[in-house]
Amino acid sequence: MTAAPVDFTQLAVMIVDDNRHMRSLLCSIMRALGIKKIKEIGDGESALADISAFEPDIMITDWHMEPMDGTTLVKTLRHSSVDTIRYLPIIMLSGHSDTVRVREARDCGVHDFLTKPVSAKSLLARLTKIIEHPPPFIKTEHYFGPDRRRQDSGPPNGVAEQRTDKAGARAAGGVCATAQMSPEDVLAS
Amino acid sequence: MSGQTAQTITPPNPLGKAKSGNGPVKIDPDVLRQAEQAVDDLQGDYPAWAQKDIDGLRAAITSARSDPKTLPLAISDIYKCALDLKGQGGGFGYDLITSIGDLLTKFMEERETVSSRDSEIICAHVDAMQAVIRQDIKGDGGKIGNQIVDGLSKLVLTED
Repeated sequence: MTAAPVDFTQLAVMIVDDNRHMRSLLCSIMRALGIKKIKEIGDGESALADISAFEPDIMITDWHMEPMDGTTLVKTLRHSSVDTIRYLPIIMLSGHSDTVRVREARDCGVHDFLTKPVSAKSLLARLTKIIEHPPPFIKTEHYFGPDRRRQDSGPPNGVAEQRTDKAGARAAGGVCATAQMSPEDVLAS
Repeated sequence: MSGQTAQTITPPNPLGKAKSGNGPVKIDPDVLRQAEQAVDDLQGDYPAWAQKDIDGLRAAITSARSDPKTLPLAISDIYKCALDLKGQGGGFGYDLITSIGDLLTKFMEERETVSSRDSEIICAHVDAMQAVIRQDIKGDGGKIGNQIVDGLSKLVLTED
């Protein structure tokens, strides 16, 4: 099957970062992709206030913000009673790359995590990954958010994953052991 | 084993409108080039942006030294400026800023006090970043960049 180019032009993107230079960088990348509907926001509380009116298709948010940080913002969105908000695709950016923080971002319900500095290529790769393989959401007693296992381009080696068994439930909604891994590996574990 | 079961939900994909058909997708190389060009176009603005963060670092160091009451806020400001420099430098082609910012961020992590020795170490990082911006050292800075990073790493190791 021939691969079709992604058409970003119809997307609405909300960018949440307290650093205006970082917002400029992200906006420039989004505009270069052809995206016209872009909303820049400087903190989590303002994002919550504006999200219903703006109706984003995806949010790109920083972690380290005041008064409301990125993880609190994501957790709040995941508790929304509005489907388009609680299922909103979210990519979190952070200057932190340590395993504990990447795992914390994953556990608060982000679709993907990107360590700053951000390149156009890495951001595009994350966007395309979510467009091509949107992860299902997992609901357990302690977690609601995207399936925390890696969304590969298809089942590895043609072997379909079992998502509803107990092992799958632990991986998708449970707590995993900590190890020294790259951000990508942490998200995949 | 907890016996916990997970409910799997397949929500509508708001990003589906960017995809034509059900087949695989690819990034148009021209679109990627445009996005990379957009970042390159901002490179010239970065030194002025970085300078503001460096100035912010110097102001926070002065505050940390002068008034114990403002110390927690000053430490938070130093950490935030260092994190911003770390998170942005490499994105604009100043990878050495990211490396030095990374060292300073780690040094400041969970720090509750700033001794005079700590202050010297923080200043050394700030001076190094100032030199990178003033001399417009792009990329990792080559040999000089390695020497700077090695020197600062050793300085941090001698702290205790």
